[in-house]
Amino acid sequence: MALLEVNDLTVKFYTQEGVVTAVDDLSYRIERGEKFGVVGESGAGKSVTALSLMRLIESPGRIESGEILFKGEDLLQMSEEEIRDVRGNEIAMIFQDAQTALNPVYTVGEQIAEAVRHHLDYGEEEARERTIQLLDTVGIPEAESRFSDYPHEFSGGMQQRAVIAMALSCDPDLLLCDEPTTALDVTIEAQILEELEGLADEFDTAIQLITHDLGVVAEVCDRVMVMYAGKPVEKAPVEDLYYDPKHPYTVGLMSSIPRVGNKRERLQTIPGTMPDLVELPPGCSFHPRCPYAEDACTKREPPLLDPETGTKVTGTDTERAAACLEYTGELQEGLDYSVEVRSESAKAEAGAGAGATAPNSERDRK
Amino acid sequence: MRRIYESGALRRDDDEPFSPREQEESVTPQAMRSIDSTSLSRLVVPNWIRHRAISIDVSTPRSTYPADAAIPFQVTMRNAMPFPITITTESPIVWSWEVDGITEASHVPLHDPPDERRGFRFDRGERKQFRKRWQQRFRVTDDEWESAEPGTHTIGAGLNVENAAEKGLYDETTVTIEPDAE
Repeated sequence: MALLEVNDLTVKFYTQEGVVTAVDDLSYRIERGEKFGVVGESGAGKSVTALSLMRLIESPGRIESGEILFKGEDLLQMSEEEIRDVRGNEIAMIFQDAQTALNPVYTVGEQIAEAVRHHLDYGEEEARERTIQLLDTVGIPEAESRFSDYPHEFSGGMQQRAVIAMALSCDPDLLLCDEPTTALDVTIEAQILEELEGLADEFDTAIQLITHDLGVVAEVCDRVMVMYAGKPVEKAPVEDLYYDPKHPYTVGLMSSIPRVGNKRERLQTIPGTMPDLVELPPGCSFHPRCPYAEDACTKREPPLLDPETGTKVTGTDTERAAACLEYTGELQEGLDYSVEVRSESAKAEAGAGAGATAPNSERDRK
Repeated sequence: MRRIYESGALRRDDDEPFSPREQEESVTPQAMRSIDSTSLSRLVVPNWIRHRAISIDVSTPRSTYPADAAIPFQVTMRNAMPFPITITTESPIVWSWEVDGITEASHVPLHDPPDERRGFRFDRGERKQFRKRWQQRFRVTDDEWESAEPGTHTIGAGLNVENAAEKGLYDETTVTIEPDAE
């Protein structure tokens, strides 16, 4: 049994402008100890997915349908009390913006100790000791004296570490990391990712890493799901995604990674922006930005397909899937891109570095 | 910004420049300088006034469009009253648009809103403007669309209340799609 299984999750926000479908019919699973990456631009529905797992979607948002099975139990059917036992204890979340996630009027130590006392039934003194130990683990210097500091007395990197300490405090089985390193500089980012990986390996914690940084995904994750406009567009093991991307959006993301020593004058980007989720374009949501779009793409929305066989993929068991009409044979011109791996050493180091290890994908239409 | 020395809360003399002043009993405290006018309006304004207060207008920049071009349209709602108005809608979807009577140009229902009412709030004299685009496509199944035929089409928008048209909470406009020259 998978640790987490999300089936057909749909989350909508009822706003004045219209109904925002933030997550549309999303299915995936995470095994114990696995590191699962969710990538996509801002507004792709990555954070909403994570918040739904914690049942933290607030009005006007609503989980419309689907099920979230955690250790076989549906989180959406649990009572508020039951979900509170799971939240922070078995599933913990590292929030995107640590400064906002921390309460400014409580000391950092107290905020971490509270979770320990609540979930693990520790006494005051034991909780304090455990917190100090956690702060030390995540690399806060002089943890004992920083215990009673307020969040504003911590630097950005330290705040992020405090949030990580809070998430790790109850040895969760699943850690949801919502862009944990976006606000940090690269040296701290590397340290924190290393810590996360180490901790995950040590405690066999599964990680769902949400990011828009493909370098981070390459470094940390085993499997990846690429999201666009609330829907998954590609699912693949991390190496396949880098060396053999199947969806034009993934190719676009890859080719827009800046690389040192690149002779091109301008950075390649995906033209346009993510569509308004209130008003998705007809057909494939990506077609207005896709260099390979044809008339068929404006009239048919491709489901997730097995790229080899072109059969529709349902459920959570598929390793490899992409949502593009290319695989149903409906594209006349086809996808005309090639992936060029600049050096063999890059392949050997698969998954070992940020931008530099990403393949160079030439997606210029010939 | 009101400063402490302007407030009269302190007494200043040569001996004690910062001693607090005795509270003057004769001054009546200014209780609640504002009220929650939205709730008040909901309580005291009758429904028929609320419906008459709000007007809705649908417009397109042009009246004819070539085939396959997106048709932008603008929905403007305005509260003519000098006090806030809250319209109670049938579901959390407070308003919707349609083409030829087909909601959001889709033959399949796109949303299954929960069965609960929602208050759609307008400030006094507020004008709300929503910009939408119709891509000249009708959704026929969950994953298929077909092009609209050339000719005249009606784009309408209305608040999600019962008999919106009768209550003046619905408006429509027509556009013509020109056939391809070929």
